[in-house]
Amino acid sequence: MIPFFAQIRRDLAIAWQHRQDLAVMLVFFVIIIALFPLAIGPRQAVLTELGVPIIWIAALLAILAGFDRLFAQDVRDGWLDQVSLSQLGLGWYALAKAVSHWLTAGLPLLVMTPIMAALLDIPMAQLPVLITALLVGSLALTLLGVIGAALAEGARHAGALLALLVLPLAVPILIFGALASNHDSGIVSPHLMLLGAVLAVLLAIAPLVAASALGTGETETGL
Amino acid sequence: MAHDQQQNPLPAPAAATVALKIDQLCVLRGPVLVIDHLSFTLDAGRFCCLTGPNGAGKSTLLRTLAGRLPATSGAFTCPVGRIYVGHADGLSPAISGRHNLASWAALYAIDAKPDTIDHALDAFDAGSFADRPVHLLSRGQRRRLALARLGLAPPNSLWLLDEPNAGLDHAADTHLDAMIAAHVSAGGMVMAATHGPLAASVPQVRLELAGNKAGASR
Amino acid sequence: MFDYLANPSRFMRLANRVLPALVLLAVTTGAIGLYQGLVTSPPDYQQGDTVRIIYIHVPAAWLALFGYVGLGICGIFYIVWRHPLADVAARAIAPVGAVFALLTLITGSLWGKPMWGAWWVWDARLTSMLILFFFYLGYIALANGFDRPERGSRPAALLALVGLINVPIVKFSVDWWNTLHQPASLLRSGGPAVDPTMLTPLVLMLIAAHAYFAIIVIYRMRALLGERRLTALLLRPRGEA
Repeated sequence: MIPFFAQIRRDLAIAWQHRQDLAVMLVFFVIIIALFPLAIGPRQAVLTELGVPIIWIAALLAILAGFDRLFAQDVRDGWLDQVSLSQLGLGWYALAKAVSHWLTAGLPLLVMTPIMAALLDIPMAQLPVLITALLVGSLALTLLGVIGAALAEGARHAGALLALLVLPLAVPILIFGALASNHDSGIVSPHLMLLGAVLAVLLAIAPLVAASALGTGETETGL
Repeated sequence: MAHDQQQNPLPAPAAATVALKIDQLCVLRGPVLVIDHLSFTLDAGRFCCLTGPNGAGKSTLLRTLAGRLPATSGAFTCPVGRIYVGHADGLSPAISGRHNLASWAALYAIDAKPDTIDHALDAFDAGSFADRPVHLLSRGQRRRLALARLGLAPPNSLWLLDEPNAGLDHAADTHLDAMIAAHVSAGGMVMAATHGPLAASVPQVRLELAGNKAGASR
Repeated sequence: MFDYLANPSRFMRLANRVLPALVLLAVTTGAIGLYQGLVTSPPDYQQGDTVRIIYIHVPAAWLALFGYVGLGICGIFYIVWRHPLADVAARAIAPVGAVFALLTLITGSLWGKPMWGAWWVWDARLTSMLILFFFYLGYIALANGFDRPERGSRPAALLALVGLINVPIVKFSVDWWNTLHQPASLLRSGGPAVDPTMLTPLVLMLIAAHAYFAIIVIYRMRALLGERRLTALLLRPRGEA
C-alpha cells in the first residue's frame, strides 16, 4: 500500500507545481458549457432539456483532455523504467495515476457542477442525482483515459489518436450517465448500476492493459 | 561468447548459487540483431564492466536485463532485485531531489527514514542542493542525485548502470567507485557499461560487445 | 493446428493451395446469389425493389462483426501465446473489416432514405455499426501510429482485446438507448422478416462474402509477410548468405 500512496503523493506534488493547469482545465469546462446556450439562443425550453447532456459532454472533454501526456513525462524522465522494476509495478502505478488524475481533474469538475447547473437552469432538486452519476462516470472516464493513454504512449499524434481510441468506448458511459442523471425516482437507478458495472469492468482491466502496454516500452530517445 | 579479461586476481565467488545467468540471449532492435546469442554468468560479489564501441549494444543489453526491452529469443534469470540507472535520471524535474529519492525508496519498499536519505545524498555530496526543484539543477548535479539511490539499494541486488561515470567530476567519480566496491564486497552484483575506466581498483570481469556479435570467442 | 500454422512459409503454402478453391467458391456463390437476389427473388410487398440492398447490406454487416471478432482472437493469440502470425493476420484483417463496416453504413444509409425518409437515422444497429467503424479506424491508426512499425503491434492487440470486452457493452448500451429514445414508429431496424425465397440468395451472398473476405485477407497476409521478409533480407549484414 505504501508504494501506491507514495506514487499518488508524488503525482500530486508534481501537479501542485503545475497548478495553473487545473485552472486552464476548469476554464475549458466552463467555456464548453457556455458555448451551447450561446449557439442555441435564449430558448429556455431547449436549454433546460439539453442541460444535463451538455454538462456530461463538457465533463468528458475536460477529463480526457491532456490524457495523452499522462505517461509521457514519466517515460521521458526515465521514471517509468524505475517503476517497472519496483515493488509497485506498472499495474498499480496506472491505478495510482488514475487516482491522482481524478483528484486533479474529476473532483474539481464535480465541485464546479452546482455552479454549472445554475448556469444551465438545471433544477437544484436534480443536483444529488446528477452529481452521483457524474461521480461514477468521471471515475470510469478517468480509467478509460488511462487505458487509452497507455495504448497510445509513444505514438505520433498521441492526442488525436487517444481521442479516436477512447471516444467510441466512452459511449456507454455517456449514455448511462446521462440517463442516470435524469432519473426521476431516487439517486440509485438501474442506469446508475449499469454505470457502476462499466466502472467495475474498467477498474479490472485498466491495470492489466496498462501494465501490458507500458511493460516493454522504450523511451522517446528510442533507447 | 564472453571475453574475460582479468585486471586483478578475482576472489572466490561469495554465494555460488546466486547469479545472473544469461542464456543464448538475442535482442532485435528493428531489423538489426544487436545482441547475438549472448551467454554469460555474473556471480554474486562480482563486478562486470560492459565495454564496446558506440552502438555495440551496451545500453540494449542493460535495458533488456532491466526488463524494458523484450528478448527476441533466449533468456536470463536474475534471482535478486534489480536497480537500474540508465541514461535518463529517473527524476521528475518539478520536485526536489529529496522528494524524488524518498518516493523512489517508497516504491521499492525500502524503509528510508530521513536520516537514511540524508546519508545517501551525502554519499555524493548532494545534500546541499537536494531541496531545490530538479529543473534548476545542472546535468552533473542531477546525475549525482540519480546515483544517490544506489546508497539506498539493498545489499543483495543487481545494479545495472549505463555509463554511470559520464559527466561526473573527480569527487563524484571517487564516490561512485567506493559505492561499487562496497556493494560488490557485500555480495551484490554490478554490471556497468562504460567507455573509459570505471572503479579500476575493484576486481572486475570485462564483457566486450562488438557490433552485431558479442565479444570474441574464448 | 495453430502451432503447425505458426511457420509463415508453411501457412502461405497452405493458403496458396486453398486460394483457387476460395476464388471458385466466391465467384460461383456470388454470381448465383446476385442473380437470384437482384433478378429472380421477389420484391418486398412494402418496400419494393429497394429491399434488394439487403443482399449486400446483411453480408457486409456480418463480415464487419466477423472481422472485429477476428481482431480480438488475433489479439488473444498475440498477447497470450505470442503466436507469430497473429499480428500479421490482424493487420491484414483490420482494413478489410473497416471497409465492410463502411459498406454496411453506406448501404444502410441508401436503404434508409427510401425506407425512413432520411439519409441517416440514429437507430441502434446503424449507431453500433458507426461505433464499430470508428473502432476499426482507431485500431488501424494505433497499429500504424508509431515511428517504428513493429512497436504498434502490442498496443493494437491490446486494443482488440479491450474491444472484445467493451464493444458488446457499447452495443448493449446503444440498444437500450435506442429503445428508450426511439419514438413509436415504422422503424424496423431488423429489416423485413426473411422469406424463404429470399433466404437462398442471402445465404449464397453470405458464403460469397466470407470467401471474398478470406481471399483478400490471404492476399494481404502474403503481401505483409513478403514485405517483412524483404526488409530482413535487405538489412542483413554484408557477407552473410
